[in-house]
Amino acid sequence: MQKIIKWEKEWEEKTIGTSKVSGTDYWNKRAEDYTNYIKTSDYDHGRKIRMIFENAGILKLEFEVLDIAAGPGSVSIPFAEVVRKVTAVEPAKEMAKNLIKNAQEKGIKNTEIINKKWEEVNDTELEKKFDLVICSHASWQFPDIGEQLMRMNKASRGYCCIGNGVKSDGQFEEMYRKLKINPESLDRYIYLFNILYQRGILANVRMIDVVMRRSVNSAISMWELLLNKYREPTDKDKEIIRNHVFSNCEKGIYQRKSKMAVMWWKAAVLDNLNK
Amino acid sequence: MKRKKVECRDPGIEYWDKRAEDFSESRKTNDYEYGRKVIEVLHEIINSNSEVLDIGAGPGTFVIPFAKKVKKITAVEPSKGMVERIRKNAQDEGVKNFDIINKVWQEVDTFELARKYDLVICSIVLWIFKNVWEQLKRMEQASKGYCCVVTGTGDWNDEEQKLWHKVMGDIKKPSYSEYPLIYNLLYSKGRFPNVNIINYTSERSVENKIRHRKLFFEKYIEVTPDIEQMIRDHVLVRSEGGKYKEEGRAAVIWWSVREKKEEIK
Repeated sequence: MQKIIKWEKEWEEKTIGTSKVSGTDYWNKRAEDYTNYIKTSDYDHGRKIRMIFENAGILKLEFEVLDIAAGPGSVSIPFAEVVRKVTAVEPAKEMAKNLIKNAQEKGIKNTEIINKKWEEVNDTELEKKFDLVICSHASWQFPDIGEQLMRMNKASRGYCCIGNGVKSDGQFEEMYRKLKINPESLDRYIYLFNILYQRGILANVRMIDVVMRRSVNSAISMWELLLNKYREPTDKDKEIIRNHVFSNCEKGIYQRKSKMAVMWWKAAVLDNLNK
Repeated sequence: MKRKKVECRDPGIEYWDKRAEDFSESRKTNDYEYGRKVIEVLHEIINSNSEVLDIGAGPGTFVIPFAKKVKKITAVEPSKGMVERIRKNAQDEGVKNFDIINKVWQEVDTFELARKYDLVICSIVLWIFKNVWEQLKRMEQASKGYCCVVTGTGDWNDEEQKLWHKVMGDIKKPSYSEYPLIYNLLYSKGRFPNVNIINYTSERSVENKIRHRKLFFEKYIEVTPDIEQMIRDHVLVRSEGGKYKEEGRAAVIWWSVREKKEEIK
């Protein structure tokens, strides 16, 4: 007999804390540095997610895309360039402002913003309204991830996609140790994989290499705000952060290479395997 | 009724000798659709210069369609019956760029094959290996590029379930969740495995399908004339024009042997 692991339950227990310290207020403060990261990286991971759908022959001009927790448009903007319309769900006002500004800079007019938390969006109104529903780098916000995945499924008449980083390199982990914080206690990707499977969803998976590039100021701000979730940064903390950022930057750009897992599936295909 | 625990006899190589005919027919459906779907998934990592090692090659499931796309494919296949099928199928298709190692994979010396192939692929046979991780590592040793495992995705075919319960009563049909097991294993060992889910059709003549089902049940019980009749009726009702058609689904798991991180404890 295979041992049934309760992936969703464990996820919930380990996510409640994380999602509380990283609420909308936090992301309003992070909007500036995060936007710098996305733009300096030229929408790297969003473009690569788009490429997966292009290469699979899935993406069509007439597509309507829903982007959950859109941030400054990391995924919304690369998609808006090639589809009919993108609807971005983003609760943080400062993030939404940056999204509008970034779209304007690119001459993009086919985006609409729902300024709400995804959990608060009325999913009955959105039922089967989209050809592709994407949630990238945001799964940690949802303690009830299984339910939220099902709501994504409900909003789609075509495909769903969830992207998440894969624990892969030591650069961030080393800093967590130096600052004595533990922001990510879960390797979320493998939980998502198993939760989807147990929900009867057999997802395709593509591991991609992504690059985070940001200015020195943006990197310092990111680390200080991240630390501030746990404590007020002391002078010593600030020094650790500065040392780390300067030793990991080149020509004024702080860079981190990592792996991201992109999972996608056809919304209608459900097995109810182990339900 | 009390639930009995079902025991499966190890089928051994003779089983595959007997299965050669029906298996070959099913894998050839729609011009090797199953193999071609796997090639589609792997198109970014194989080309006309690639050398491929195919473990548990069966009747040429991959040998035939891959040979048309790559430089050379080497098939590891212990069953003589299957080997004959590979040769015949290759002849039918005018395929010559392959060779066969007529051995069980566990007995193949991977030191001789070390880093020899661009792709090492294995379909469905992993459940036969008792020490899966050992065998996956040996696959990696033979590869200088990628490895790929194609596995079934658990029971989703109602018809198979229905026949099982007709024959076996209320004993639970053994189901091997091979797919998540292998995926989680690879991930926990620090690999970055990609997955594509494929759907395919397999078609057999009615007689081949009946043989296939008989051989399957023989692994669990003695197939009496009554049981044979049950199988026959079940297959006949669901066949059309002398053919029995099934929809199959599999997970194609593939990863680079050059990219690893530390194992997860």
